[in-house]
Formats: sequence, C-alpha cells, structure tokens
Amino acid sequence: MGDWAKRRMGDARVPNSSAQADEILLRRPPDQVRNME
Amino acid sequence: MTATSRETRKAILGISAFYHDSAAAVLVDGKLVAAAQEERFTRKKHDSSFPINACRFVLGEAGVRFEDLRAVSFYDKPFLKFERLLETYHAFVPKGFVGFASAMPVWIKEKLFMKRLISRHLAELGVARVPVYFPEHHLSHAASAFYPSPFAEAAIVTIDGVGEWATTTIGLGQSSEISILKELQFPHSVGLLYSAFTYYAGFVVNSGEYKLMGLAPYGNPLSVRTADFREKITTELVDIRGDGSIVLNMDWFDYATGLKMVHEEKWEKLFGVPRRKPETEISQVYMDMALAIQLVTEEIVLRLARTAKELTGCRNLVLAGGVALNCVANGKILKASLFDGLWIQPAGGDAGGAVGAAYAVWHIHDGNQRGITSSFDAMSGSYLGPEFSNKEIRRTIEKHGAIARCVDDFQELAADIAGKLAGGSVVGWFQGRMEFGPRALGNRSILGDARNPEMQKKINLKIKYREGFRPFAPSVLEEDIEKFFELDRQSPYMLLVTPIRAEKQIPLPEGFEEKGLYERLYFPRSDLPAITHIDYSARIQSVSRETNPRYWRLIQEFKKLTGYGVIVNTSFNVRGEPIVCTPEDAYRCFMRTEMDYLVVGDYVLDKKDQPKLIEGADWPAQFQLD
Repeated sequence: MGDWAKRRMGDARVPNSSAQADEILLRRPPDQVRNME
Repeated sequence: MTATSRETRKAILGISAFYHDSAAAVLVDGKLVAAAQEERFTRKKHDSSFPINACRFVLGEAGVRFEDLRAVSFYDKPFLKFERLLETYHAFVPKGFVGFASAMPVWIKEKLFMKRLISRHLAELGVARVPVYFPEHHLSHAASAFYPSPFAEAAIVTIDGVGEWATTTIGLGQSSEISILKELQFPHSVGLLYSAFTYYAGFVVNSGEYKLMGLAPYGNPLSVRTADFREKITTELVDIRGDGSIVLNMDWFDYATGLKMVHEEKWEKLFGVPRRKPETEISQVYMDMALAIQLVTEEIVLRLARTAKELTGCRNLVLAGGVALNCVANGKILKASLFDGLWIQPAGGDAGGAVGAAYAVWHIHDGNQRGITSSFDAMSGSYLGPEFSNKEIRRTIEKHGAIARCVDDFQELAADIAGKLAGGSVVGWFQGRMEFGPRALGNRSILGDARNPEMQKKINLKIKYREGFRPFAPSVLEEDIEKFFELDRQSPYMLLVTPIRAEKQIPLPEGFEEKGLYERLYFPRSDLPAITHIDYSARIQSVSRETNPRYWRLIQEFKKLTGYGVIVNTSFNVRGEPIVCTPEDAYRCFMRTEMDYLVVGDYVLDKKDQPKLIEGADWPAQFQLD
C-alpha cells in the first residue's frame, strides 16, 4: 500500500493515540470544494 | 404572470440520481418551487434511476420553459467518486476483485460520461444545451442544510455514508457563502458504521437504518451485555476522537471492496451472535446491539456538533446527510444546548441533495445574494410535490366505481373526521401537495387516535403490514407542544425525538426491562400510548396553522372533542411501498388495507361502502420488503 493509500485508509487499524486527529478531519482547499465543473 | 416577469426568470434544476433516492428540485429566481422523489412516480421504493418523472413534474409545476433554464446541477462529482473507487480497490488489492469487476462496466459505459447521460435524459423532456454543474456531494448536503434554513449564519454539519471521498463535513454558512472547514474521508464513515449494524441486525441497508433506531429503545440500558457491546464497538471497531472524527478498523468491515457490509464470521466471534436473518423474530440481543450502536452514534454526533461550535462560534446549527435523519441523535444535540437554533433539512438523505445542488449553483457558482425575510424556512413545510384538483380526484373515484361523499365545507369535513378518529377509526388523509423527503407530514398520512391503546398494534399489523415493534409519531398542534412534550420549540419535520412530559408518564412495573418485547410494548406508558415509545420518547411533528391550515384544523377539531391536540401520523403506504402520490395510489392503498375511511381532497370514502378492488392477491409482490 502506498503512502497515499495509507493516509486515506488510516492503515485500516484502530490507532491508540489522538495525535492524528487533524489528519482525519482534513482541511480542504476551498477552491477545490467550490469547483463545480 | 406577466410576459415581463417571465422574461426575467432564471431556473435551476437540481438532480440526485444513480445511488439511492433519486430526486429533482427546481429553484426559480432562487426560490425553491418544487421537489419530488422519483420513487413516488415509479412506485419503486428508493428508486435510484434517473428521475425523469420527477424532473418532468418540477419543471411543469414551476412553469419552466427551456429559455428559463439557466443550469442543471447534479448532486455529486462522478469523476471524484470514480477516483475513490479506483484508489480503494488499489489499496486493498487483490481483495475486492469481484466487486471491482461488477462495478466497472456501468462506470465505464455510463457514469463517467454523466454530462452526456444527463443531457440525453433531459433531451427527452425537450431540454437541450443547458450547462450542467457538479457540486461535491457534501457541498450539496451543506447547501441543502444552510440555504433554505431560517438562519443568516450557521455552523453546518453533514454526515452520511459516503459521497466522493467525504463522509462527514463541518462548515460555516454566512449570508450567501458556504465554507467547508473540515472533512472526514472514506472509509471512515459514521453512516456506514450505522449501516453495518443495520445489516447485522437483519435490516436492509439504506432503508432499515430507521428501524434500527426504532429498535434501540428496546435494548436494556442497564444490562451488562449492552455495556459490553458498546465497549467492543469503541475498542475494536471504531476509534472516536475528541473532535468527533472516527477511524474505523477495516479488518471488521467489508464495504470498501466487498459486496457485504461486514465480515460476518468475525462479527459473530466478537459479539457472540450471528447476523440476524431478515424477517425472523428479533431477540433481545439484537435490541441491545441496536442500543449500543445508537449510543455510540449519538456520542460521535455530539462531538462533531461541539467541534462545529468551537470552529465557527455560531449560535445556530444546520444539519443534513442521512445521519441527520437520526432524530434521536438530533434530540441529544438539542438537549446539550450547544446552539440556540437548530434546523435540519427534512430531506436529509440523498434526495435532498437535489435541492442543495440547485442552491449551490445559484448562490456559490452564480454569486446570487441570499435574502432572509422571515423566521420561516424556505421549504414551504416540505409540501413541494404534486397536488390534485377535486376534478382529478373525482375521475379516480369514478374509474373505480367508488362511493364517495363530497364535503366542500372544510370545517364540517374536519369535524366529521375528527369524530371518526376519536371513535377509533383509522383514516387515510390525502390533501394538497405531497411532501418532499421521507416523512409524511399531514398531506399523505394515515391518522389515528394517539390515546387508543390498541392503535399502535392495529396500524402496524392491519394497515401498514410491518413489524409490530415499530413506533408511531405524533402530530401535535404547535401551540400545544409543551403541554405534552419536553420540547420548547417547533419540530415541523418530525426530526426531533424528545420525552413525553414527566407528569404524563406512567411508571413502569418492576422487572419491566426483563419482559419480552411485546409485553413491554403493549404496557401503556402514558395517556398517549400509541405515540409513546418504550423509553417514553416521541418523534414529534408540530403542526402550524400557517404552514398546513387544513391539517391544523383537523387536529384542532379533534382537540375540541377530546381535549387532546395530538394524533398519530404515519406515512400513507404499506411496508415496502413508496408514500402514495396520486389519488389512484391512495385509493388502492386504502382498499388493500384495513383503513376505515379515506379523505381525498373534499371527498370522504367509507370502506364499508366500497366495491371490491379487482386485482390479484399477489399485489404485495409489487413492493419489495424494506
């Protein structure tokens, strides 16, 4: 599994720490969300 | 309408389709004029096909001509969704090949060319060369939650199974702007977690979530088993972060690549019970499991609401997405007093995405300003569907040779029907415009007396032909809410669950929690037994004189007779059938069940007077059990 997939899949394991919280609730670039094309 | 005003109209058609609950909605000059789900026309529940009938209806209802149509807006981004599918399969390879192989042909043939597909369908309606836009799935949900709400500024939380990548978002709505601040991505999904338990409890995914929620109060909150289930869920299946984000342990779930929701053999080892076979008796263990996952879901939703408050500092919260239909969780948000105002999109599921997609283009893409002119929302009570004239109703009556009485004095009609309800009759009530969204709100409803201890059993088993455990909701006069319920505000869309007032509750006998389901169910828990759930809760619809004057008048007449401004309201359908749309649907449903009276517009039909409906005994086969 590549890094991108690990990030997306969270490596499919329940982590014990809350250190990754911000990686889970991601901040998205506003332009990306608002693009409707 | 004058020629001049017609020249200035700008319409936007919103569409949701191809997953479940296809729908269409139309905005004219920024005002939501019509919306409907395709299932109501095709009579196929949760119909996911292109909503050609719903499009035809909304465009016709709004009087939209080709030159009025500024844009079509589809509720998600097919390419991004496809990317998610590819990346998911790649991440789990070689697992999931069967799922991959079955999904690809339809994507490659059709879904990747959505613009062409939509244009082809619209051509059938005479619509050509209109720009098609694709707002993200959760932006569509967010727009459906914020723009029609009565708030100028609000925190926005959307939670569902999955759109493209996002499964949950937190945003901020200010005037005409929406900013998505945070999002949780697939496969970590509150909606899919809840659906996994829906599946394991033997209900249908994307349909039976409501049943699981209704089953949860039968779980024993004091039992070791319920606590053990909750512990197992939060240690093995899902890690809940402080901010409400979750990480699912995908070792337990199969939905990312497989054709099932969960790995059943693993779940059986973990919970000590196999997946319940659909339609079999529901034992206590599944009720405890339902309660455990409901409590976990409420914990997650509450944390997300708190995070939304921290991030935005707003006084108001708006919600959408399938999980926003979890009215028990919504009630917990209300109880937590995090926000002054709470508004929930009545079509919170994917159907509502059609409304949001249209709003997103109007305000975000086109930059039109949003005006808040009153404290009312812009959903018109969700009465956005088709309506039928007395002439059209008469035609249906004549077609069936039915015997009907026309009562054109509505006051007289309301008093008459209120008397029948108070006398124990069950009434099919069909008036005005059909509701948009999953709930019947008094225009396509089956009504009964909430005081009657037999009513819950009668409607479930003899009319709806559905599971006996399922609770019914009350419609209560807006001005009488606090008389009966612990609720200090309106709940027009039946999306808030709160307790019956303490003084109305009848104490439970000792050992109540250990008794069987039906023994508990039929023990009267208040003086409104038909709408008091096993835990003294009720899913409330408040009825406003302004929004639905006829329904309000009927309940008012019932109150005059009984002292109670509250009745049972359930959707006008049998199990597996979409809510009735036309007088024809209503008449058939009336004749197929043990309903006593049908009121369609100004016409009253008594079951005893009707000729036999000629059709095969296999009519239930038309509707797949949900």
